[in-house]
Amino acid sequence: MKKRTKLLRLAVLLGCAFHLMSIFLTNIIALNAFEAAKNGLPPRSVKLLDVAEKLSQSIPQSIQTTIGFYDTYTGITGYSFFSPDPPFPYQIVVERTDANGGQAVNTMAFKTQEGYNRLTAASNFIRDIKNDTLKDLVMRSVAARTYEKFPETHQLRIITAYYILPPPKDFKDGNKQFFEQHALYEFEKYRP
Amino acid sequence: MATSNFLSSTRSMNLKNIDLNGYFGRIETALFNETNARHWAFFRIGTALVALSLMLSLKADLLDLYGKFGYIQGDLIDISLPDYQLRLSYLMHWLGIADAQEVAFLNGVYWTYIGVLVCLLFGFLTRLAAAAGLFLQLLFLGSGIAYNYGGDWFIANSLFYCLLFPVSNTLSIDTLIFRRKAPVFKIYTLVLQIHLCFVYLFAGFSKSLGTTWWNGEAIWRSVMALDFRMFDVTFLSNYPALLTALGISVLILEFFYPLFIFTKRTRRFWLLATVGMHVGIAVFMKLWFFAAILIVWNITAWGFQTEKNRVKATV
Repeated sequence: MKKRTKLLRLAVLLGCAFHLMSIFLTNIIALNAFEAAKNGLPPRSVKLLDVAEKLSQSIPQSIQTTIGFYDTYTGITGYSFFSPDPPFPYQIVVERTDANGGQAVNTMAFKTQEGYNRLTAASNFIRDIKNDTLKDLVMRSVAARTYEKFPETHQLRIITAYYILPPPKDFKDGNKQFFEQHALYEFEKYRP
Repeated sequence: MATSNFLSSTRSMNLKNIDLNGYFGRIETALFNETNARHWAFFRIGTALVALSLMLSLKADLLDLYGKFGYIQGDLIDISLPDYQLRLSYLMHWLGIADAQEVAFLNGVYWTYIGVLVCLLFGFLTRLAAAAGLFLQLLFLGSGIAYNYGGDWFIANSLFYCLLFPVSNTLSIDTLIFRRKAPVFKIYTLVLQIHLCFVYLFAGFSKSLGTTWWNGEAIWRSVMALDFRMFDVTFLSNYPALLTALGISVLILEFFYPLFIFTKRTRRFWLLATVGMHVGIAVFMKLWFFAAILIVWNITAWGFQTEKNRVKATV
């Protein structure tokens, strides 16, 4: 076999090894995201997460940065969907009131089903913003777009809430689902 | 003295016994075996179809999702991204396009992406189309970071594989134009197979850490969530045993995927069960594109395994 072919194959082999190692390490690092959920987990899970945490801490920062960069350009991500427990959905309720008192309650108004399918991601994105100023700006941005799409709107209330769903047994016994309000943002159309 | 002589002679004997060339040679022959290219053609067509359907399905919401003045304004999204992450605002800036022309710009990028995906679908200038598709998908991923879900990342990953692997050796326009075909090695399929094993292993492992997947409540919450709910499934509260069985089945299916999919005897069943799970996700949770792209991955990786598709090894 030609030396060039051998070298090419070695390059392919190394590339594949790096790619698969990136996927593995990305997912080990992603387990750190469960740190906040640790309190509600059984002791065996906490022990396993501690091991994962030690493992990810042992990965040098330079390698983590390289992998993060590589992931961004290849679409690699963590695969812990709906884990460790699916959270109670975070909902964004948009309540519009026109000048005559007419009300409409919706969420971010998309035109397509696929747009609505992305609401969960958007709600989680807003829920996870730690900085209050940034969260406030994001809500103002949602309000601005709503006013633009529905110019007749006079007052606007954006309510963020958790959709609490009782366990199946409790639900069967008559305890129904309900919204637990998290935050309220109120806006009024500016009239110079 | 006698002991050191004995040790050195033993070491030299052991080294002589290991035929390094033969050992690596066997690995090389196994990994660089040439295989049939049909599964990669399926992967290319599947990826292009899923990405096309996804983009066409959200055309009317393009501005709200990816626009600079969408529901979550571009500037607010930008500050949550690392500088090196691609996004539409970078391209706008590089091309010197003003905010006032944003609608035309977004439409231009959108229709270019559609065109690129059509090229990929028919295998026309495939590698170029995959490279352009990956670039454009990454732009949308960055700008829509607040709205992305798993399906978007898997599509980007699929386009990356279309760029690297020879996906146009059959059922493509390229085969009519270009006579030279890139060899299709077994290692490419193996990469996809191992990638899928990581996907399900980590998905199963992280689910097993919680409590709700063990008692069925996770299934209940998933199908009852307002944004995902497709049908009225409140009747499921009458069947807690069924919910528990479904939850534990998902755990077993995902966690043991690497073991049972690599075992010839159980492969067909595990593949069918995994595809079934994704059909369930599509039907009950409206995550059609996420389900579709993972079905494409699974069938590409394992669905063609039963055929005798190996051809003579190249030396």
